[in-house]
Amino acid sequence: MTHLLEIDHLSVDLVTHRRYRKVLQDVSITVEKAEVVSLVGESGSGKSMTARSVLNLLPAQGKMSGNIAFEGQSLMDNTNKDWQRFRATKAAMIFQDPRASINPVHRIGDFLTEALVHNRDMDRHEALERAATILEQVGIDDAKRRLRQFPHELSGGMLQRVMIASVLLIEPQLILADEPTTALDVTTQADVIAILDDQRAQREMAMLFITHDLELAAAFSDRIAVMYAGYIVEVSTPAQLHARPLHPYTAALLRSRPLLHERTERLPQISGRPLSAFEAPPGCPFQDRCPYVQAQCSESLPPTQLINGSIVRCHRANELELASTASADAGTEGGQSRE
Amino acid sequence: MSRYLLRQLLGMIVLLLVTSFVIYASLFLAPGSPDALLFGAHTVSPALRAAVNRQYHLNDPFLQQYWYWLVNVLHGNFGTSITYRTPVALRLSAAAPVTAFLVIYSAILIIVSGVALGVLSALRPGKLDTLIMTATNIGTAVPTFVAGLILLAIFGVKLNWFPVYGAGAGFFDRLRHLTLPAVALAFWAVAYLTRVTRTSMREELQGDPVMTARSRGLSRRVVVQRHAFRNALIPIVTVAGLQVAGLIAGTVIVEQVFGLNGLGELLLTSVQDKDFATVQAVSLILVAAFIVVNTLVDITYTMLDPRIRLGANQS
Ligand SMILES: Nc1ncnc2c1ncn2[C@@H]1O[C@H](COP(=O)(O)OP(=O)(O)O)[C@@H](O)[C@H]1O
Ligand code: SF4
Ligand SMILES: [Mg+2]
Repeated sequence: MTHLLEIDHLSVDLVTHRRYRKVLQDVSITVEKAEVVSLVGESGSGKSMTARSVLNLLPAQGKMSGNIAFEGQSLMDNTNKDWQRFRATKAAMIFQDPRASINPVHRIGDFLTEALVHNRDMDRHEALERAATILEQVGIDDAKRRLRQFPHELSGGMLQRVMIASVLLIEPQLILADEPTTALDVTTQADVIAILDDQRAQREMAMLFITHDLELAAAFSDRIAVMYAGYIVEVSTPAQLHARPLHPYTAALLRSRPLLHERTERLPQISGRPLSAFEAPPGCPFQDRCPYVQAQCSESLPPTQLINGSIVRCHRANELELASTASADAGTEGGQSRE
Repeated sequence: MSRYLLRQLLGMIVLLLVTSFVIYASLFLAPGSPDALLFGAHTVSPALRAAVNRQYHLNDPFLQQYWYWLVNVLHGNFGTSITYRTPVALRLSAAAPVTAFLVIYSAILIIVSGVALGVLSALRPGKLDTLIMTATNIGTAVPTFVAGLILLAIFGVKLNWFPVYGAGAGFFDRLRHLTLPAVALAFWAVAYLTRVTRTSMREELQGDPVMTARSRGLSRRVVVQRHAFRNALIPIVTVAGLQVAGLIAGTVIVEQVFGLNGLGELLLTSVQDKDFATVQAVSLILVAAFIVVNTLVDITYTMLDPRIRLGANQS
């Protein structure tokens, strides 16, 4: 079966301080047509780089290896022109901070229509008409006036709706949404997410949704992939994650429940700080923070295993019985071994 | 928008008035009586003395004197040079076109080559970029008058490609005569503007708006023109504007090196000759040109950045 998007054993190296450093390790994930897959993890775990790899938009000198395929076609041998065509038609990205990402010197109308005008030779007036229609669909009224305004004249929530509209105008099959509400006012976050998911669903577009908020991801994803230090450590459905998380990191994330209205990306209940892939020790990347660590954890990288339809990367996944709430395993130091 | 423009122009006029007042008042602030300053060691006929007294209205109240002087200046009447016994306006009309030509010629050289080299450098990392950066390193280290002397020695004296002296007559002859001076004047500024352009282009190319534009599948040409270059223009225009305004002062040096009878040269000789009326007139013109250029730059700058143009009113 061909997937809409298939990322297969993707590794990415970026240059920092003149040295190549690994930021993604052996990342494999699929997205089906009209499916919503969330990437969840703490800051620096590699969520953004995963999404940017799909569009070949890594920082300068970034290198990727492994395979990315779209509708069964590998993108790895794409020329620049191929990439341009792919971005113009197949997959489009919603960036985290619309205030930074939307060019402040051009009018909203120009931002919304430039892809149509330059990539599809659409007449400017027709493109503006279309942009106005979509603006109304994402909940912006007085669209005609908005089109003539500049980005700084709109609030953050409005601007992110403009960003969503710009993606809908491209009519891609896949939306890559990189923390689309993290930079917004808490009062508008829920609205913006609702509009995004609603419009996406109406058009049967698939979405790779990035968030550090597992709760939010669970609310409307078909599947969730949990990332840690450049690895995907667990892929599961929201129901299964809640019933029985397989990876200790997922369990910790579930217990710490970062709420929608909190901006913090830290997990107060797990000691230690999140690592980037290049900082991770040999063996399991989570070993320094894991309450179940054993000798084998530092000896070898746990392979991915399939358990009850979920994918997990932990040596002890089969034997651990983890809970998703703090109360369920109170007094037992966060879980039990089956033994 | 037009309200903004109006405010800029009003500001400029006020600044010009204040400057003209300061320049006029300097006649009275300088040590010695205006009389002594105006005539210095010259022996003048009673007729001329009377004419100068009339010209400066030395017997009227100060503000009234200033007003008369200003009205005269606005009519192109800058009074009479005591040293040369000719109208100052006549001397200005010979010198000003030389300086204006030199400044405009040099400004075009700076803007065109500085921006072109900077953009090229930013878009083509590697050998070309290294070459351009090395050249600008040298360029920024060479003072204008040294650049002038070197150019004069190589292209004027040794190769004999360009005249070494004088401003020429007629457009093309003047162009030939003023090429070396204009290049000397532009030398440092081109190097500096190249670096500024390169840095701001690089920054924009790495920036978020460019990534967004690329993510939408826009071609490299559109990304570079509509996003990288368009945004980089804001710092480029600021620096280029300062440089062009600075050229006005720079001409004083270059006119000396190349023996050009421009305003800078006129200013220096008038100071030596204690020709006060001419000094006043030239200072006024140079400062006024400086203010006008700066205002033009301000207007261009704000036209490029809607955040300034429209204020930060959220809705
Ligand atoms: N422009 C960059 N150059 C080099 N390294 C980067 C760059 N951007 C991010 N990184 C590194 O890549 C890793 C993954 O980052 P990212 O994908 O942005 O994480 P996330 O989106 O999950 O917060 C981090 O270690 C980060 O430091
Ligand atoms: S492999 Fe070991 S250290 Fe890693 S998550 Fe599993 S138990 Fe913890
Ligand atoms: Mg990120």
